Amino acid sequence: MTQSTADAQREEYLARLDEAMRGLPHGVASDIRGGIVEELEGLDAAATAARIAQLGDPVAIAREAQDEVPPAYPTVVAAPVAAPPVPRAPTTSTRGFAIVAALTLSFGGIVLPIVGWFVGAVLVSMSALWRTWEKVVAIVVPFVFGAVSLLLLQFMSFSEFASSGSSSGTGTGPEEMVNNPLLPSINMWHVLLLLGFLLIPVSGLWLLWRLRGRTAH
Amino acid sequence: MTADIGAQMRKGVVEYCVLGLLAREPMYGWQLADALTGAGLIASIGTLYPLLGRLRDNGWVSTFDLPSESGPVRKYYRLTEAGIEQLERFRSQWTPFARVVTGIVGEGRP
Repeated sequence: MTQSTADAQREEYLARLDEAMRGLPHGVASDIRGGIVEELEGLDAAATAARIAQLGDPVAIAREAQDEVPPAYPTVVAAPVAAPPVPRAPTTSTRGFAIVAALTLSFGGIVLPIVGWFVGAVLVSMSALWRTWEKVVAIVVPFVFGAVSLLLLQFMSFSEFASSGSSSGTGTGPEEMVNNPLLPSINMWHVLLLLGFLLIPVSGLWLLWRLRGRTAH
Repeated sequence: MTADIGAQMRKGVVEYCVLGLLAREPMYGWQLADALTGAGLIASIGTLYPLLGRLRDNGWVSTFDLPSESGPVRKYYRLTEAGIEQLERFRSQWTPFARVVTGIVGEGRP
């Protein structure tokens, strides 16, 4: 074998070593390379081959060196953790929704009779800013009050009609019926009915009043 | 997983073994690698140079270049004063330590 063969062996081995040590810190890699270059320099081909065999696989050398290197400080900066998205309150938990619901309950029936009030009642029941009992009071009380008043008014009108149809007898006359102190007068029933309808906007406004200081959960 | 007992012990003492070798005479890398692999203290030259780098960083060894008879310039390692003191400290602790451990674990079946 010639010296050129020895040079080729050395260069080939060093090239494999350099490739294997790419992940090592520069100081460590250059120390290892320098030590090996020292050992391979000046040797003939046979001695070079023997020394390379003693040195062993460059990959194994690099792996053992890597095991000796203390873990480097992390050089890759972790991407900043994205702030967790602030959970958005559902629409039905917002004050805006509650205000719209209360106003719809109050005046929806005026804009769109019956249906408007019904929509308002649904919206109020969906809102999370009132307690159940508040919703029940706001929806049921005016409804019951108005409905009962209306039924009683109808009943009284029917009774009045029935009484007037039999006025030829000796029964109670319509004037007596109207003036019967034991029964509310027709005007009084009107007032009660009016109160029942007035309770609807009042109930919505009462809900708005109950809303003060409350925020979405 | 069972830890390699030998590997753990070698990790603890191999640096002081290098100091011990250098206390005898300055040595170059291959000499040290040859001595330590022969004693089963390191696997290859890949273990040696990072270790020598740590000793140098600690100020326990220093280097100097010296041309060899065959031609190439070699980097030699030698102990510094701090290295000599460190080796002395180790020696003062190693013998009683080894005695205590041997006394506890015994020397095994005759």
